[in-house]
Amino acid sequence: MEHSIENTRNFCIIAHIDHGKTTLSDRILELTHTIESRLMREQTLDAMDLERERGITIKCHPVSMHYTARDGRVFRFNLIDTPGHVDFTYEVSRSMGACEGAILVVDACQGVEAQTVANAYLAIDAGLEIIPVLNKVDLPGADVEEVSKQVEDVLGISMEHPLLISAKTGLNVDEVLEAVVTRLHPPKTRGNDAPLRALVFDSVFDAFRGVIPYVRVVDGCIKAGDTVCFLSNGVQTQVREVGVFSPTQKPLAVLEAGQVGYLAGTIRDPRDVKIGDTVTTVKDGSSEALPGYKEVRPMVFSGLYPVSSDEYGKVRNGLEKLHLNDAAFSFHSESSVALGFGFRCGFLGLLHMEVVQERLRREFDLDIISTHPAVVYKLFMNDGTVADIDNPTRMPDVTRIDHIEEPIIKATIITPSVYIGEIMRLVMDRRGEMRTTESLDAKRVILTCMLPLNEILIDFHDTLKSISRGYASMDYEPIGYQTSDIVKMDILLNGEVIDAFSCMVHKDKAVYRGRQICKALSEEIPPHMFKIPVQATLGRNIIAREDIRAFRKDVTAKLYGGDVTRKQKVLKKQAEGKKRMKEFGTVRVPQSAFIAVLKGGNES
Amino acid sequence: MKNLYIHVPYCDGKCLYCAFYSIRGTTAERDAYAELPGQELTRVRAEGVSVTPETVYFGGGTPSLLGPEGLRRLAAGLRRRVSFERVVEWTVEVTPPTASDAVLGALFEMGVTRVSMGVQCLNDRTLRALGRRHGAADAEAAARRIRAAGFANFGIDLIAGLPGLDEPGWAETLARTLALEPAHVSVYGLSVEPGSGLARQVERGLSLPGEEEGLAALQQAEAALTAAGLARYEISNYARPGCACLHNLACWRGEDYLGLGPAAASRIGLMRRTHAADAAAYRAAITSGSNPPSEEVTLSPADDATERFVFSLRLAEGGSPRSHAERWPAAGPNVAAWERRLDGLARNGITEKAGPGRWRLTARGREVADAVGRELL
Repeated sequence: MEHSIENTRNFCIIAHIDHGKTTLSDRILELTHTIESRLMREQTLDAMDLERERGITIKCHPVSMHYTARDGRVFRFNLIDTPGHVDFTYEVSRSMGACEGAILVVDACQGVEAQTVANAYLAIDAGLEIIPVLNKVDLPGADVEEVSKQVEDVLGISMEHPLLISAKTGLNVDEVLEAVVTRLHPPKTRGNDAPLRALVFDSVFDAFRGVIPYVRVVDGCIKAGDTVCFLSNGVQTQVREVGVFSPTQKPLAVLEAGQVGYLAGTIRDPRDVKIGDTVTTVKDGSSEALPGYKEVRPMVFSGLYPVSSDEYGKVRNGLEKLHLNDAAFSFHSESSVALGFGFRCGFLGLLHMEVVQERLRREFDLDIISTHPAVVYKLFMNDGTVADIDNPTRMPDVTRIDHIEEPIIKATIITPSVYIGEIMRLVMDRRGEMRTTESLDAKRVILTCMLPLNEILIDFHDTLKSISRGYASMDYEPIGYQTSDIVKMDILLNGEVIDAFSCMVHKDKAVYRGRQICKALSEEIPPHMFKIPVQATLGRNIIAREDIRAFRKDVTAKLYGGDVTRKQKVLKKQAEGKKRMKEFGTVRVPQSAFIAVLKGGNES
Repeated sequence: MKNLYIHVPYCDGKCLYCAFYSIRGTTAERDAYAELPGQELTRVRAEGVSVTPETVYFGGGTPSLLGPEGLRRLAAGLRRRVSFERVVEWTVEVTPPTASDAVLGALFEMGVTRVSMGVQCLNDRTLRALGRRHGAADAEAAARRIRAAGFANFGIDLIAGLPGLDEPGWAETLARTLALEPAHVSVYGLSVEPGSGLARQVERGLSLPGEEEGLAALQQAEAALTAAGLARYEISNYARPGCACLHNLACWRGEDYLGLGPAAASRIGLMRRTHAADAAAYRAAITSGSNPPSEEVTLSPADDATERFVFSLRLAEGGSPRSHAERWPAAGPNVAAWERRLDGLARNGITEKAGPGRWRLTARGREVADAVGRELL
């Protein structure tokens, strides 16, 4: 089917988590007959098991559809699904780079939430046309009038022609499709005959065809047989196939200007394909790069180590594969005295960290241990130099440091006003500073505050949710550095420093945090044959201690002849369980202990 | 094959704590049984196992329940097939009621060198509660008969931590035991074996001495026995110098052993075999000329060498990874790891050096010996 550029619409859907973005995508796929409804799995676009399970979208998924408008014209829609969570802002902005418009979905019961605000601003900044949609209007709790007012007041988006839908029942979803036709612009392009410029917005690795870049063709067109190159590094490849997503890869003769699709060449090395790069033809190509994406910098760092050291290669391989379609995280090898060889990984935020770790576990079947997450501190040395430290074990001798600065974030929290007191206490407790408090509506307020990033790493979000019975939502952005009294705390097990547990803490928080970690470890590490002291230290000072008491007795009284082999079998079986634990000297630490430390223990 | 074990599955009753395979059997069955282990021995030798025993052990069950005639025939059946010329230790287990002058005389005449008697405690009330078929005085009289029959080397088995036996009661058992001048004493901590009568009573609410009391009873025994000149040469075994049980030592030191009879176990090279606990099936198989039903596994050389090492740590002499690997080369790759672990445990008071490259359990280590074993797997 031929489509002119005029009849093409590229758009994404943005929303706060659980406001119904994925359900709406599914309805659109049905209405455009891209997928027969009987073949629909719930949440078709969320291809990763992890996404389907958690009900969140992590990666952007493109799909092409044909839509026959009410006036009879046939349109090609390219929908690019986007993640909702703050950590994946980078993914969102990548998706937006390939679109002209965005459908902003707001839950008519919940109203505007923190990520509604964050994502809407990203779309406005990206110059996208926005179609606001109120979802779940069929539910008894829906308050169309109030939520419309919030969208206008908080986001400054006109609600003159509100689209009131239920993605679940399909109510008015056809109106949304019409709005895409009438309210969004066709792609801006220099046309099919202009020199090729295509934006790489994602890529996947295919075992047979190598790296497959996902592109938005801005100018010109691509077809099989073309030799193309990437402007940033000059890497060339012959195009073997081009196509669109409907929703799986479907080959086409040509990808035209304004189209969103993929190209398969002969690229084997994932590093050759950079997200945000521009693809052009070698012959008569363009030398003018498209505006790429803002280079993202990881904010949270953690060491990832295989539980069993012979899986180092497998972990490297897994990280490389993941990096290919999640360029936002970084990794390099490092080694730990306690954990052996592993990787220092940088993440955009905490959920991002969890997702990457979870994907390694599931998609690559790896048992991994992660170290205490850390932020990047700036160390101002006595000799006038400045060093960035993202790993406590790299901390130089304190006598050489003049002062330390830590990263600060600006957090936006939307909460029912009844919880405002407790949330303010939480912010203070985390060394934060309240900045503004504004009413969003009769019942809710928007708080803004400054917080050290370090303080929200562990359990801030969970605590916020529990304080507000799940109603508060939060988003944050980094705003710079500030001087702070940061110290390195070590954890000793049976007298030995376990570098994997070392962390940077504010001096005033050290004792509290030290106790938390000692307690968490003493609860998770099973009793050994001997008593194990768990200690937290600052330099040489012990600031917290818990003891893991020894088990009293473990011996077979009478053992001879036939018992030996039977007993051996039992011992061996019991010993199997041990293998999943990490050994530090004579102490075995289960993976659950690492997780408990990261979660901050049970104390609150 | 230097170590021969014959299991006699018959008992005149079931003790409360026992989960071993034992049945009462009829007189005819017991009489018939005496011929069977010898016949099994023929089968084993036909498989290519060369048997020249240096230690022989008749265990049970209650071997003495076979009576003088049965025991003679059992022994003769074996000796017809293999030479007992190199036997340096031949042990037979007895119980107080079955250790008659006739039985003991027969054993002495046959050339048995050692008698081991299960006594458990010398307290009538507790003995009755345990379902033992004798009193304390019966046990003492039996010990005197054993000595009179010519067995200077005899052993007494006790159980520590029995219900109803408080510290003074246990002290009395220990003192009266020592007064019998045994050459060997075994002290087993009471354990509730699944399927035993004790397990059922515990389920119904019987309360047993706690872990601490059990450990205290074991310490009390160690103090009393070592003070009397019996050295603790294995976790549960004490002996006068030169009177350690060689048969059991061989097992702990990792040697092969051949077990005949139902429920008997063998370690033959890489092979481990345990016969089914079924006397009737055993008899049927042997008399019809087939192999008795059994479970058999063949270990990898590495697992075999590891098993042989792990239990050596139960001995006071301890174990040396390096010399073990000289004897069992498949243990070679484990030497460094074992040494590292044993050394780490030494830093935590569980093991201690017993010579260059050799480690043994400390007093605390003996309380957690199974956990030490797991460390080495």
